[in-house]
Amino acid sequence: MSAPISDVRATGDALDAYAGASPVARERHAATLSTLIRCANQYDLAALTRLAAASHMDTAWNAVAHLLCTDSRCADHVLAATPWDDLRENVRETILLAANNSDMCAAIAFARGVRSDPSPITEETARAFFAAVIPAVWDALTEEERRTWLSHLAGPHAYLAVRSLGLDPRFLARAHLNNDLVSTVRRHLHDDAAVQRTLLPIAVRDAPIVAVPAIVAALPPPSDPIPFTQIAGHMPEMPPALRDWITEHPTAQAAATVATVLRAAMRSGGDDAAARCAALAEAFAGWTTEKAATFLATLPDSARVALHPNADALANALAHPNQRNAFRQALDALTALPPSAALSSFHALDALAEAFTSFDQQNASEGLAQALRNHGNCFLALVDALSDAHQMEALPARNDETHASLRAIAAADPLVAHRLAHALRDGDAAVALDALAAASFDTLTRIWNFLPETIQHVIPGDRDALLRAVAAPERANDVAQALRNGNVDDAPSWLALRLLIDADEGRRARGVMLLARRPDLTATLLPLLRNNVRAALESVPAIAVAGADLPPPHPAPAPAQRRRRR
Amino acid sequence: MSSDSPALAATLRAMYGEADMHAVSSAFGDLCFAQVLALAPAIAPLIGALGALAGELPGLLSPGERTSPVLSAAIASLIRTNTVQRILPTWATVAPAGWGAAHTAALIDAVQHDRCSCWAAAALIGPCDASAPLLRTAREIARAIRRWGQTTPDDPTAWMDDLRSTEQKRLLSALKSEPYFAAVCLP
Repeated sequence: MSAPISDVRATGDALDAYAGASPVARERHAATLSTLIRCANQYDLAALTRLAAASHMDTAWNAVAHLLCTDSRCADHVLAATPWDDLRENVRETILLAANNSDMCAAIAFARGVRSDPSPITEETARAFFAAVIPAVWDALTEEERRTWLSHLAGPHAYLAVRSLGLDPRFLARAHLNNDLVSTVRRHLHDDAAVQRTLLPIAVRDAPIVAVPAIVAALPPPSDPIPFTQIAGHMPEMPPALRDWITEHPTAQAAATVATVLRAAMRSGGDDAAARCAALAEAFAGWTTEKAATFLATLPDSARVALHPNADALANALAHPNQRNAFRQALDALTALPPSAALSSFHALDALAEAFTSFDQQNASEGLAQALRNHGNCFLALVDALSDAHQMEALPARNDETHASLRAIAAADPLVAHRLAHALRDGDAAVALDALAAASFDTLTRIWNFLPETIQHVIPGDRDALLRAVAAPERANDVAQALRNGNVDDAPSWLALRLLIDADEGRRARGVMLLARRPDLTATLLPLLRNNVRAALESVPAIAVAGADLPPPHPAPAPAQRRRRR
Repeated sequence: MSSDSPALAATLRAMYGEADMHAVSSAFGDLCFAQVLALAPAIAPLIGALGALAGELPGLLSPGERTSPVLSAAIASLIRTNTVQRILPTWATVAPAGWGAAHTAALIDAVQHDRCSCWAAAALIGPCDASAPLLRTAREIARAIRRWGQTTPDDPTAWMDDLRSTEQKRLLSALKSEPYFAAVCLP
């Protein structure tokens, strides 16, 4: 107990190392092992229990019991390390005897059905409870009592509930996907395909939300769609109406929408508002207003409000005091849009109304701009009716002239205008690059010219360094010459090269597509570029075809023959 | 991440039946997408196995898969690519003993180009004069030694016989200075 933390951790890790060792190795190192067991304290109980279970050593089990007699606050570690049925009798007796003096042991005794009154429910006692509980005790609880225990079950401990009670979607929905969970699921299922089927919705739950609609739609229809969507949607409970709707729509596309909507509406993951809006737009693509209305009616109130918030509440939170009627009219116009745009827009407005920080407001505004990307006039009507503070996050402008220009861009593409406005307001080259990466190819030069020279200069950065980053070794000067020869030493070319080396793979892909607009130039550049850049470009058929007629790359001229670049 | 992310596109391609690991390699760079590949139905077995490794779920691999020549050859062919970055650390914990000995040069090159951590390369190569110099910190030494010991469970200190005495002393001396890491690689 008084030992330094580093020593405490060292003893536990050493015990764990011996728990995983072979019996022969443990026998050979019996003296060291005895010393470690003697040195163990209550912080080492998990490792000591694993060693005891693996080695069946009496001294190890007795040490566990002794430590629990001294201080039973870490009894949950014992149960987390080894199921109740695998504990030695003296350890079990020690835990049950301590139930009157220890909340942790009381939770375990309650879970085993030998005590009728539960301990105070905390994250720690819930861990002990779920590690020890038997189905008969769980089944005898009221639904409200179960909810209370579940509300204290942390994700890293949820596999213990799976271990004790089985593959209930309420446990799986909150469990962390790791090897502990794989092993735990294997205790219940012996067929590999069934294990994978059980764990798949957890992987979907953990995927970025914008990927969820496409991933689920690419799967065969789930054989058991209600638990699938509950787990993938990170939903604690599934209302009966939603269960019925899912049963009536047994397709992968329907499962994709439900999982996306639940996750977005419950805001359960770390997804930001813009990502949630993008995912919702994709999930509702092709839906009719009537079908969406039927579906929304099956959702729990909290989820429904997140997709279709009360108009008065939105007006109170977001509208300019002099523009409430205009704001309401803009909301009415949203309602008339296809569900893909309408529901994601309403979700963005709900997020904007609830955002406290400027960062969150900007993010929700980006979600709105993304949702209304094909409905620029609706976006402008809403922005015009927002309060000054919210307007400054949706489409900030320093002066009327800039504002007018941004409005013109927003009418065609609200997302580009939103990003451009923030880049200009903050002098932020990274956000300007976001705007450029989102802009259509036809408007790229216009957007570029709208940027101040300072940002234009920063985006490609040091051009020599950029050339060195994209060019094959010793070929940077040749790339520069190729750009000059092709009369394409212009902004889009430099922007494309900059995007090609971006850390974000989506932007790199955008750079490839930008260069693909000029296949002849790109074919000329190909032999001069680094292998990875070249491979990315050659994945585009137009570039591969244009480059096919060119000779293979020549080795660079010897340095002595090269002229120094001025 | 946007909905047109290459990692997502690669994941979907694999879900629609693509069996060429190079064509879907972007997905292995992302923990979540790799886990989807490990678990989704109708994924080519090799892609699923690589997904389990990149997704840090080696428990999904059966003993037969861990020793599969197809998987071994696939990973060997990836050592000189960036795809291998998420795969090798997990592979180092389950690969057959001495698997990396035949790929020593490629693994050392991967370490030098930040595609593989020192301990994973050393663990895969096995205890020898080529792998020991890769290990510098007590953490790296402990992780590699632990794995070396696990591959000879009844004689977990056998690795010491495979190293020159100077290297052996250097590794043990580094461990002695940090008791926590010394404990990790017992016995």
